[in-house]
Amino acid sequence: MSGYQFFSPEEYRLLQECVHCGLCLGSCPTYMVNGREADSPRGRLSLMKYLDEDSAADTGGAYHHIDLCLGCLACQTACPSGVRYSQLLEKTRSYQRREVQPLGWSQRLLLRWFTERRRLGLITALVRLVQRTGLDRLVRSLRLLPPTLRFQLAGLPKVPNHAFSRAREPQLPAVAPDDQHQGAVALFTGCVMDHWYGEVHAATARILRWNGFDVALPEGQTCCGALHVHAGLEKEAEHLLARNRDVFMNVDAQALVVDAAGCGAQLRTSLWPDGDGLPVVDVFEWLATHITRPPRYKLTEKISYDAPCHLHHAQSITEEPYRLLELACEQLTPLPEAEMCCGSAGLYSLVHGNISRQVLARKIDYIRFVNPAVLVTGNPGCQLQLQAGLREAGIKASVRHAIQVLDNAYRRDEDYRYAFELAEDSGQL
Amino acid sequence: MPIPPSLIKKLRRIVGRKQVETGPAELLVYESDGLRLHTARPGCVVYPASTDEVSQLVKVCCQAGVPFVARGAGTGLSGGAICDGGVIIQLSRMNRVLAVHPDDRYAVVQPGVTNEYLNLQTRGHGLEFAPDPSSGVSCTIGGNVAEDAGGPHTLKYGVTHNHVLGQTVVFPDGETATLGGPFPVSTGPSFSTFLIGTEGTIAITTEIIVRLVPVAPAVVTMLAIYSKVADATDAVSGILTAGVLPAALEMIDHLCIQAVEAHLKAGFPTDAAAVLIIELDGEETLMKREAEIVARVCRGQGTAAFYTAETDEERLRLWQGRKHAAGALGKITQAFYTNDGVVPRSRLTDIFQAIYRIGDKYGLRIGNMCHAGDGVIHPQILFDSDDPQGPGRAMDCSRDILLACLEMGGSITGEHGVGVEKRGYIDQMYSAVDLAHMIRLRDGFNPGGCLNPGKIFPNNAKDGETGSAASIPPGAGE
Repeated sequence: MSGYQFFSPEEYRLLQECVHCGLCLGSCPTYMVNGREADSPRGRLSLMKYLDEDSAADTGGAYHHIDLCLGCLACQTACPSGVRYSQLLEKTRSYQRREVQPLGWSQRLLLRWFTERRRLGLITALVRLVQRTGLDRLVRSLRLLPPTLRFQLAGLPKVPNHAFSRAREPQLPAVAPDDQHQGAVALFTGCVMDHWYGEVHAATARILRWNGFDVALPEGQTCCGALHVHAGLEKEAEHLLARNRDVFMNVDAQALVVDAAGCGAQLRTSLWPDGDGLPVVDVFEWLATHITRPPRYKLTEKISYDAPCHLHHAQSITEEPYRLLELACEQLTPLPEAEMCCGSAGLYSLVHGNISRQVLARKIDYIRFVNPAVLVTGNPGCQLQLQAGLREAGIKASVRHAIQVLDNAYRRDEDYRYAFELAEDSGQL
Repeated sequence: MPIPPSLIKKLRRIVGRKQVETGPAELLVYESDGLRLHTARPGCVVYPASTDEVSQLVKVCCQAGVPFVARGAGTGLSGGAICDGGVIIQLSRMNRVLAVHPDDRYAVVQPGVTNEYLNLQTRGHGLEFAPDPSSGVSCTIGGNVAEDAGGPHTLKYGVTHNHVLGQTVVFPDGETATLGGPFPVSTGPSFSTFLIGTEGTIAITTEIIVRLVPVAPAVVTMLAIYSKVADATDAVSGILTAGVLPAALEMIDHLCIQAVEAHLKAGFPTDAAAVLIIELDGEETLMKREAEIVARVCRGQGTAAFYTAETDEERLRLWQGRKHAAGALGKITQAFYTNDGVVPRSRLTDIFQAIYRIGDKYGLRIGNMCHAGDGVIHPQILFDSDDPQGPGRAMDCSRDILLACLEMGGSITGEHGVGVEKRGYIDQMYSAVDLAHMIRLRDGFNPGGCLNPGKIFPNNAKDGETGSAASIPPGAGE
């Protein structure tokens, strides 16, 4: 039997690999908060099959549940048959956006503005202005904006003065004794990360250089297109990928290091369709096998790690962050359900604010229980969502990228501070 | 027969508009539980949040004469959670652990709590809920109670009814009762225990008091590899007659090993005919002695290789391979049918011979995983879902295996329940008089027959056509 509307015969066979055992249910954040079978992975696969066989019969109900999927892919980790849920989800969403329900204008607008360098630059300048003048508190307290936006604003980091890639030379040399040089890697700077979380890129670059790598920052790179794929905009994503492909095609390096889990997942599967280009690696994965100069001193704060879904589930990078954090922390305290989504999921937190917040609430409960001084993750969206959630709940913990924690441990070392001209008190988390 | 709009209105008034689903997409996903061979679409699904809401819901359903069924996570394997045209009372929102009393070793939970979540809440106190069905990451305590669920570790610790101290239930007329309590009392019959395993045909459980047991101080997990299934099954009897009571004693055969190693990769050798997973737990020095006995018996029984898991990680990987073996079958087949027979342990070798013979007779591949120590077998009958005769042949094949179990003095179900799936065979296990008494007992509490009709017993006298029979594919052995 083959597919009817959008699945190829091979994909239809993938769909049949779901044997309905239900082992995915307990891993699905949306099912955990609303208990509806249609909002479980097993239910959604049944709905995909139903839509594929007779899309016309649906009156919109089925697509609603496809929309409600966070795309965290925890079900893929849980599935004993290895059903490739993400592939099936993307195919269904792409058909939905193309043939049934085009993406809403607000989401389209967001995707256009946030992932295009110059426009993002404008937004960033505006946010910076609002933050510097203290207007953001006023905006939040006046309740002019819809509640989901207000909530997200609270999670925004203090936007730096320059995008990371603007402030740097395109090539940063290794800072290590000559006999410890390990060659060159390229760093993926992306869109939102580059403008808002430049400090993470800076920390990544420092640690790579300290461990003997020259870090290349190839110019012309752009958004990875992950959000577009999640929203079902296949063509737009392909366009962005093609631009990145042109940039990285001729880069002479051992690997393309990515320090945002969402971008990493997208680039790993899609940058090189034939699989023969510059290897895409996550920063934790790379450092876990290439760290030659671990931090001399450890941080003493109580630290917990919350795994980004697109690292843990989409890229199956599960152990490496813990291994690295153990090098940097004396008190690494496990967080229950650390591998469950925080509800951020790209634009999801804006579009489906209500359910996103319910997913987050479960996470916040665990954080309150463990009570770490610093909560560590590895993706800008998660960082923003968790920070907003903690602020709202009145929990003091700060949220950092794991790389920043590692960098802070390094900063306790005078040589490291000296090499990168960092102030002595810069190691505060 | 569609559900009358007036009833839908009443249901909405009780639980709120958003907690009642009637759309085709929403109902479609409730067509089956973990067993896909029996499907029936409900008329609506409601999501209550409290005992009180459940009580009101059942009352209006009964008044309207509309059938209703309580459902947990839908991981059951006997069609127990389907309800043709009726109301599914989905208990997944009632998913809170209400209290944990570590000193008195019990917890109070709502029925929608999963085994995994309960244990997450209690392990900090060094305690756990012992029954561990393989679907424990998703399945609910309410479902455990309805089916009297087991799992690998029930060999040593007993099944659900050994671990439930009391429960709050709602009877079909809406009456609520609290049965049993956190402490053992012996006044009169244990009504709570009687309800466990009645598959939700007498009352709906809305709160459960579960016994917690200490987490074992030490665990050893061993893997014995065999090139002949008969050697493995003989070793099972050997271990138990040598006086060792393992926490778990499981077997997986060649075909299921292939499925597990295709994706999960538990580390089972793919050329083995069968492997045994033997787990011991308890006090360290005693365990060491027992481990030596197990190793000696396994080696004496012609094991090709014998390993002891060195790390927790390795141990968990073996268990994941065992527990998720059925779910992994999707890698090697489009469809399969899980059988749940039981034989006396001494007949394990015979039943496996019979299983493979029956498989050959129908030309169907059968993979096996089983709670060998308990004699509970789970032959997985693989079939071609594109072949219109496929499901029927698989069901006939399964029937023959169940009849073979009965012939050896066993049972048609170990832990999956009768549901709609095996109601056609229950009269092979019980006499007409036995059955009449059981039905009388049920009807005493469920006089209108609205609660979960068509389950367990054939030709429900009160509810002649409960729909489900019509959906059994041709060739099914009824």
